[in-house]
Amino acid sequence: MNNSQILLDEIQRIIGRSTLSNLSSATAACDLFEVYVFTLILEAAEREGAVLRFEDVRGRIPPSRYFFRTSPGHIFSTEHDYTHAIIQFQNAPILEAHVGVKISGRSGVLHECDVAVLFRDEAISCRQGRVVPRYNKVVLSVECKFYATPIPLHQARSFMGLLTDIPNGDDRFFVVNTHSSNAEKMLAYHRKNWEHNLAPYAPDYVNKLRTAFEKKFANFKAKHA
Amino acid sequence: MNEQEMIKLNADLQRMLNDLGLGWINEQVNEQVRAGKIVTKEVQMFKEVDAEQLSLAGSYRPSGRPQQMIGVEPYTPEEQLQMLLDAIEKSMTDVAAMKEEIASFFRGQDSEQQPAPSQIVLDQVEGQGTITLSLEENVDEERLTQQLHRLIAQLRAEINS
Repeated sequence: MNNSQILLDEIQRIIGRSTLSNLSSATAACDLFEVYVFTLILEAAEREGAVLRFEDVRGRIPPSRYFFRTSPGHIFSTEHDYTHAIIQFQNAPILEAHVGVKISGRSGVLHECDVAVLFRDEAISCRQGRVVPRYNKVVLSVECKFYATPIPLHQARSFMGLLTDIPNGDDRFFVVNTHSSNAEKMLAYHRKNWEHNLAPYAPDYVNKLRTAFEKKFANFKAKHA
Repeated sequence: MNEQEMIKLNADLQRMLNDLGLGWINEQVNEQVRAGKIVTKEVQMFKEVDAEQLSLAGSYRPSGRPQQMIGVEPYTPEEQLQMLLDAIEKSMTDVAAMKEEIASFFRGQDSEQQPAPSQIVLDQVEGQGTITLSLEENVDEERLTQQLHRLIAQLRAEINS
């Protein structure tokens, strides 16, 4: 056996013992990334003074397992006891944060938001009525992309297209764990909110994004004070 | 390592990832390979020449200074191999770090009224299976990641030898 083969066998053994080996699809890895971004949003809300709670789709405190819905999912789905967060600021409407919910766009077409923060009264109405939240009730949404390689340009193009149907000022973000000078060039040119190289070991990027989320929550509070 | 050996190592690595159920990493790398490498080149521009002037229809001749243009070139076998190794390192490092960060966030939310979860469940597509990740599991992901970095560094040294 040559040296490369020995190294390859050892690499296989190491990866096989890691969390990565549980993620047998790109979607699964992206789902984990969405949950990570969800926690960053909640941290930002907390830093702005919010009280956080978690509940499932039936309004109960979730037990020891938190279910996160991924694409495509409806806010009213009871397929599992999906978990969402309740964000409560003083003297402001209560918000909910969700992973992987569909919302209705301006055209009436449904789109998925990887992570979305919306008014709780809208969320409750949608769960009761088994309908989809409206785009203008989503105060913050993030399109999350997890890639092992530089992100393909078509992902940024899709995001740009999505924005035409779910516009809401500059409260929509495009966040990736990797980079692509082409995608970034296009998003920067069109003045869209984006962040790249997002990973827990890259504190500069994490802080920049969390600060942007904090600013959104600060504006939300000011608007409703 | 010569080009043929690099191509073989690339195939072996891709097979290993498929065996581990991580074929999506191969797909992403292959997508990038297919898209090619964006390069800026200086290109001599040509201008259509008056056909009557040269009594030749459809003639073109070099005109003016060369221009900077965008082109696409294929990746070399070595670049393809390095991209695959980068992708393996990136995905393992990021997944391990994210899982730890998520677990740490939920541990920080632990209270009497709302105990921290011990697991998160990712529902891939509604009704089509789930992936459960334990947030308490005592797997030393950081140590595994460091081992992977060391092994891949050794593999890169083999490639450059």
